[in-house]
Amino acid sequence: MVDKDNFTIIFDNASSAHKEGFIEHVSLNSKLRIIHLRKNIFNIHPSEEMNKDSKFNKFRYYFSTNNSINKIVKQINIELINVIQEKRKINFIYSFLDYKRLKIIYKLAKKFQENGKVINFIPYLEPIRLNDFKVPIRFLKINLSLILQKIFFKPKKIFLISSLNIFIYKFFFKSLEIHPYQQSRSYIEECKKIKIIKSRKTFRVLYVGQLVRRKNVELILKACSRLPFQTELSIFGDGNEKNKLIKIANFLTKKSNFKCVFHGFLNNDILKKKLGLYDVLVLPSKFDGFGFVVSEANYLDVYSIVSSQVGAKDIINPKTGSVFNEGSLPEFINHLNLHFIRRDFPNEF
Amino acid sequence: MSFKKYYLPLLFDSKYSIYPIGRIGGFGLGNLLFPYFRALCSAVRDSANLLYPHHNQFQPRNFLREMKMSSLRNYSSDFEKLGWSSISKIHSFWIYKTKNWNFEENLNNSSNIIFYGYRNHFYDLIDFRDQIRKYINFTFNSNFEIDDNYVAFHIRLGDFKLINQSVGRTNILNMMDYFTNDRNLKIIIYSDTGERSILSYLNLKVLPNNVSYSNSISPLNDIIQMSKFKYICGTPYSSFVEWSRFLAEENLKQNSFSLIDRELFRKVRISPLDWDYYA
Repeated sequence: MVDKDNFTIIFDNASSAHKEGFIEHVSLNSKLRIIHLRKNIFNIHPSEEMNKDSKFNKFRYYFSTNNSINKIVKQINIELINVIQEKRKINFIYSFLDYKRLKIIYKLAKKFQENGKVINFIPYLEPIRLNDFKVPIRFLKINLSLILQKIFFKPKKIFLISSLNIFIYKFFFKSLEIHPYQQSRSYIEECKKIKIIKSRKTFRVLYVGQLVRRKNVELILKACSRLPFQTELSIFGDGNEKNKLIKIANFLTKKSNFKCVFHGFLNNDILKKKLGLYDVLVLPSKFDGFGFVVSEANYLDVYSIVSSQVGAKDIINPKTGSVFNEGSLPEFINHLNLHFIRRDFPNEF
Repeated sequence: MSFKKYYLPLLFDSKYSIYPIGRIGGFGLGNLLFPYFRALCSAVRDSANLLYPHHNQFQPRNFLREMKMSSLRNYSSDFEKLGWSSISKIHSFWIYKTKNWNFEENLNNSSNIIFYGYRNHFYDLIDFRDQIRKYINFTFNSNFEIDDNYVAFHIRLGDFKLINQSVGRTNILNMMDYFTNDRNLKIIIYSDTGERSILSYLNLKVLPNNVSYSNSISPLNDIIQMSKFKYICGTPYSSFVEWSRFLAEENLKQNSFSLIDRELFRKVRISPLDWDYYA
């Protein structure tokens, strides 16, 4: 039930279908508005394309951060002034760590407070990567941002999309809640209705994502080349490592029992129809803040094997997938082998 | 509790053991397969990693008594074939050394579990029977085929004689006579001991007509071959022959003949699967 006195403003970057579930969750207890703050509001991201039928679109406002802070604050204020007139307490849920957007939120809050409103700040943040050479700079920047938020916003609690590297946030905030990204209920129900009969001969492995170093696609090729049964690996995506990966795949497929096909970029509607044909989705990333495709696999009852550095590991349970130590080829191979045994008896296990 | 889990088929708990190099002491193959499959099936069910089985073992007592390599009770060649479903030896060693371990009783509240001992024998595994059959068939890819007029006759002597569990020679000879003369079937003997020892135990110079002896390639291979016979005969004391019954395909409708009576079977019962005929 929506509490008429509760009002929430969600500040976000681009709109994304994968956040619809969270917005739905917030809307159960609160009236809401969604403010999108990003550089170019005309540049449509593929994930926004999926969101064109969202029931929340009428509550969304788009502002370009290319404008000055004062101008943006004024614009938002004009848009919301009538909606919040009767409200005393307002939740600000925001997903930013950068200073410009934090300053916009801060100034807007000040304006509202001058009008007698009480603002409750709740950051909704992604995991922080800690295993590459940029860690010191990133660590410094993020920590500084968190310190400033703690001083100026004084958030009582914080929302996170994953428990990955949660200890950093624990250092700053006492009350943490995990709210993984998820699609709207109607989308999930639609996925559950899709019926697909899988081939039982070849073991079909799927990767969907960018072909960049961070995604560690090479590990999938190495693992598949060492499986003792007939395997077909389908790779959907593009990136600067594509040519290198094709060369490795050509070399490995000559020597072993697996076939590898590179399909290029995959539109989400097609992904939904194709995903169910596969036995397993793999995501061995060196780091992935979340990994939306894992949710898609979950909705379609496709088993996922992800590395311990993938944020979406939180939505995996032993029935829906497994997690291996990031970078560990033996553990990754072992999970693939055990899933080969499991796949014919999904209900027994 | 962490979702990353590791299951270690230690198989047998010995004082003198270095994982994964080897240990002194250990069960026969039939009993080693219980903890192995409990670990494998649990790993598949719980999406855990399966560590390399600690299979390399030496049984000096049996070896000194019989002075035969087979008496060492080392089943490494069989377990190495099963190794594809577990993490490599070196990596397993590293995981073993860097983690804290608990036993199966803590399966629900601990991430790193050691499996050993036969516990409830086949009662622990009956729900996973199809999966185990599929796994064995895939791993061994056995082309062995046998006509329906053959009986797999398992005679376990070895240490069974010592612990007074071997079946009397008259029982065995009567059963052989029943198959070959009354049912007009042919018998192939599978045993943990050589043909000479069997002849000596049965007090015979040569095997009766229509009875032959199978030269073992490997113990697990024997179990798999026996599982493909329309008729199987043995003693429910032996987990070896029980494994063959367990692995027999449903559509084969295997007929099993126990060398002990129903009452005794009830006392030693290790499998929920009934035998079709009792002595």
